[in-house]
Amino acid sequence: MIEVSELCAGYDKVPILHGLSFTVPKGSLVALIGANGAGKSTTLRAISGMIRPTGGTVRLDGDDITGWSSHRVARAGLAHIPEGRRVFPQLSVKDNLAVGAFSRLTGARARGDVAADLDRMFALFPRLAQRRNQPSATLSGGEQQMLAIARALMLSPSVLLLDEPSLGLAPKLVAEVFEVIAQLKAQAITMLLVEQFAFAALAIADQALILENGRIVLAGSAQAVRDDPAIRSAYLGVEGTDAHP
Amino acid sequence: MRPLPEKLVAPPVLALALLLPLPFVGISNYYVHLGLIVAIYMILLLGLDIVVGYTGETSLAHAALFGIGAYTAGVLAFKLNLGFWVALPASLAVSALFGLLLAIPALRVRGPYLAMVTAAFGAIVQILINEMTFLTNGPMGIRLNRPALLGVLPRDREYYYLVLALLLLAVATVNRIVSSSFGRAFQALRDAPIAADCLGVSVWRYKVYAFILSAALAGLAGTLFAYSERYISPNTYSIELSILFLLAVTLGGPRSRLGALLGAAVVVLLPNLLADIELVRWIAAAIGAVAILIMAARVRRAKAVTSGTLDMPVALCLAAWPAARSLTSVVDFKLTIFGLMILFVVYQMPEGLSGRLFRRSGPAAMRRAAPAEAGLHVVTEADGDLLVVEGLTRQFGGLVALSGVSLTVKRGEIHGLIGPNGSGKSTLINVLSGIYPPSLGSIRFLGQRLDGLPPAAIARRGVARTFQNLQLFGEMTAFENILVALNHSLRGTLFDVILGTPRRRRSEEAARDRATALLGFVGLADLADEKARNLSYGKGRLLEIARALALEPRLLLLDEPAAGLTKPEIEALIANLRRIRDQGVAIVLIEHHIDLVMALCDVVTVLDFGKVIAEAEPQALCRDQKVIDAYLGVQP
Amino acid sequence: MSILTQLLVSGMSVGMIYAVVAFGFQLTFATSRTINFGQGEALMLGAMVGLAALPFLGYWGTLPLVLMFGLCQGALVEKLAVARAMAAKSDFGWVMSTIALGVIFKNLAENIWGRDDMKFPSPLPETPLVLGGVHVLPMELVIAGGALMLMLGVEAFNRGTIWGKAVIATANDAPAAGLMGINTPRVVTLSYAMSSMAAAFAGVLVAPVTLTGATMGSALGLKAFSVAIIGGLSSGLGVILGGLLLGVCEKLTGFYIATGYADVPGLLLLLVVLSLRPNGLLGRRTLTKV
Repeated sequence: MIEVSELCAGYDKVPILHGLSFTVPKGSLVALIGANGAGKSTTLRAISGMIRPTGGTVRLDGDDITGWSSHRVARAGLAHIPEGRRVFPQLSVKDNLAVGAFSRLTGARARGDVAADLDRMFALFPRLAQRRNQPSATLSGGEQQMLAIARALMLSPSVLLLDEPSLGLAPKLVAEVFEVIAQLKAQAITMLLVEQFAFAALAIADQALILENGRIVLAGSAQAVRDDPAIRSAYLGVEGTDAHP
Repeated sequence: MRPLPEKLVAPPVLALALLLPLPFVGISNYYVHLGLIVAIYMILLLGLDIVVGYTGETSLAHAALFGIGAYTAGVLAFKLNLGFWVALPASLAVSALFGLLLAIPALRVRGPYLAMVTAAFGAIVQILINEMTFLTNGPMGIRLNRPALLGVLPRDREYYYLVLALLLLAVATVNRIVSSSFGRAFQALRDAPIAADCLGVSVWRYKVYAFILSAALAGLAGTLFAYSERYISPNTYSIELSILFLLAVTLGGPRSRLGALLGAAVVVLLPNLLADIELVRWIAAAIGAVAILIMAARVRRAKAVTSGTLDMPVALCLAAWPAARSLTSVVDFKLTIFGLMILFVVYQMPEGLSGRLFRRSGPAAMRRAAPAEAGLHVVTEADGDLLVVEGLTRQFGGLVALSGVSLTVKRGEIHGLIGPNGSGKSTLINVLSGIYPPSLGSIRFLGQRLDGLPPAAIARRGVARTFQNLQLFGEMTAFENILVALNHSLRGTLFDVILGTPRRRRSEEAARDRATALLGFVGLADLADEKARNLSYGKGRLLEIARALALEPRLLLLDEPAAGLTKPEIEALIANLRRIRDQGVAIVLIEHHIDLVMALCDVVTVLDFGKVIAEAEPQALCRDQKVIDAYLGVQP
Repeated sequence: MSILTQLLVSGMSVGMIYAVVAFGFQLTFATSRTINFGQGEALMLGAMVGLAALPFLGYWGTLPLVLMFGLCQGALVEKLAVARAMAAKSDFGWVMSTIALGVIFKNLAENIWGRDDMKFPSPLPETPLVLGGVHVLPMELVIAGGALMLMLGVEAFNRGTIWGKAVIATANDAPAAGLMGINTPRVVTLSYAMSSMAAAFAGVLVAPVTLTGATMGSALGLKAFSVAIIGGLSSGLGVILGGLLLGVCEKLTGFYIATGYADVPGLLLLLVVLSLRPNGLLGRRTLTKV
């Protein structure tokens, strides 16, 4: 589980997050939604160590990981699938997955059976199996997203952070990605999902948080948040319910 | 250590105090000669500082430029029998020409690549000097005779005063140049070259100026050196000498005439110091003692011996004394010591000796009060289409960032530009301001084509912009940031600057008034002398807007001006933008803060995946299904 | 005609040396966007260490020693000169510091081994083989072979081991590599170690056919860098071709114009290449995000 308390973070001198506090319970999927610039990606980066928080604490399964560098956080079992997928273009699909298991192969994490996990990934993502020796740069956007997810899973993580998995994907591919996320949810992996496209995220999440200008303005069960008119004002500044049937 | 205030020991006075009485202190000719070399090196360092301290680049070519000056004198003497008084102006001209030649491959590169270009240039020049024996007499060198001054052949003492006079002239000239718009433009190149271009300050042009000035000074020094030593040979002007010059300018401290003096003194006098092994041992012992004190202080602070107690610099200092004791001669290790000094300066003392010992007082705040509105220009043309964009497409490799975008901005309109992440908003602004040319399509501004023009030209046509990630000139004050944008209003050339002509001074005063007024307009009057990098984010944003207004634009492109601002700051921003619009300036505004867009914009264009999906008044857009889908996603 | 072929052949072996040094540049630049301005000195130190150990270990015995030495020297350069500058995001910092270290190494070498050039005893007979009418020193064949073996060896390491893949991952996207649990600062140190190892190896390869002395590395770094730029970020083949081209040009210039001008083609090449590709090793235009 993840516990975030009074988290503050930003870039250079720009403060983005102003004291966030929330919990991602073990085995649940929490959606973090909000408009552009609200600070969603920043939140994930502050948790995974890509940026250093300027205040507050982050706990992973009870351990204080605030300010840890990203490789240390990864070795503790937190996998972050960054925005824009960011697969390693010069490595093949198979090697991308191998690198995902780096900390296991070098002894920083329990080794387990890496080969078996690799086979499992290929079973879960058959298109990746087809392209296992191709450089990942040649994959389509949707395939790269699948690869990024599989690569993160190779860490054998206890927690998964997903940053806008639907970004830049056509609607059909978005649906496929969300199907994978639903499967992961069924396996009770703890997940924190950031999405700009609110409705898809809310349909699948247990809980939801709405972020506005670096602050949480609404928190609750995904169902309750979905029906709350405040969601529209957070995005479009309009009160009212007329937009959707 | 508390620095001394610079007013107490103003640099030129110090320089005079140190150098003037030198030959009278009854010391031997040997030391007068050393003083001569210090003065000559100082002239070169004044020039090198323009490139290193002001434009922020590393040059490994200055020994070669030094050699060009020396060999201009040498060749004139060797082949044409022309002496000192011809050599002086000739070397200025020839070195300036070589500075231009060096600037050409250096134009498009920065940082390490520029260092390489200069190193390659320097190496080629040294080879040419060595090989073109018909011209330079190659490795055999050239002998020169000093010119007769008032009928007498000068000894070192007389020559020293001649060099000193030229040095003072050089100091005065460089002082004038770097405290003028040229100095600010050079620093703009270092701090934020993209912003400089977008403010009409052409990075290429000023780079060329910087290299030419720098080379001319190096060449002058070279000629003086040739006549000082009365014998020149190619192997002097090697890359090691260039590295030595770099050490001198960084050790002395960037952007400081005093730094040039201190740096020159250290690198000239140090080898002589090293020759006295007893003295070296004493100094090494002192360094070791200081290191022990530092370690003791660290242990006391941490209350234990930690891994931080002994780090590399301290370890090297401790090793100094045993090393000095075990060696009988340190002179051969001169270069090693210089190398260690470079490491020391780069990591421990980047501000140099002059920065560490003397606190810089900020530029004198000589400003008259001026009414805020005096800063704003008024646009008086009749209504109509200001900016017409048609079918604009921009591709980066396989990625299509903009596809067939068309929009129109009318005079005096506030035009919003919104869309989800990655929809192409910033790319559109970058194409409009000339940072990228469009792949297809056209941009017409006041009827004229803008597409394909460089950013500096677009800025001069009246299109100004701000940046999503602040591009302030961090090391300069807020006031100076605005002055850079006012370069276009200054009358006169470099010579007017050096001579301080009335017409130059008048236009500078007018510019200063305008800058004061603009700062007042955005409410930053009391932060005028604050370094831009110390400003809070919100205030930095306002400064960028004021800076853009200094161009007297007809169109202002703002990239997320409200990002990171607090609520009251946003209120102030809205008020400012309305006042700007009231003066007749049209604004294109990228924003995520929907309330801001609603409050301000007359019309809003919505982008998604690089295409325009809607354009309407703000109120109508919230009800547009396409827009809602783009932002919130299709409801499954 | 036979002189021309002769020049071509000896130019190619020198060219392989440039290729190896350029290869080293690519390694550090890929992972850290920095290069060692003192790379030439790394080559020189490899040759000198090899020379010093020669009486004890024989030529083939010194090779692994030189490789180890190169690894250590590269790690030292990274720790002293580069790591801090990268943390401070200061280009000036690592440029000046690697230059300074290069100066220090050269000066120390001058003091230990003297300023004069020395003869490095060749492990192979110095009588040329005659292949197709062309005289080839056996050592020159070893140079070409050794250079290729080194580059292939590093490639095999990069492709075959998990550490090598971590190096590639860091080169592609350092922050994302961190998310995989890869300690990217350590990868940078490793890439510097491998880069100096390559240069040191090149030094001990080329020493028998050229003058060995403290100054042997001086102009080399600059010239090899232009080869690295031609090769681009990931193209080993480009580096070899560029190296061969440069080596041949130098030999031709040295013979037909004058030996003193031999360095000029490489230097001019650097100026030309940087004028055309101002982003140097990055190849494609960097998109500055503003």
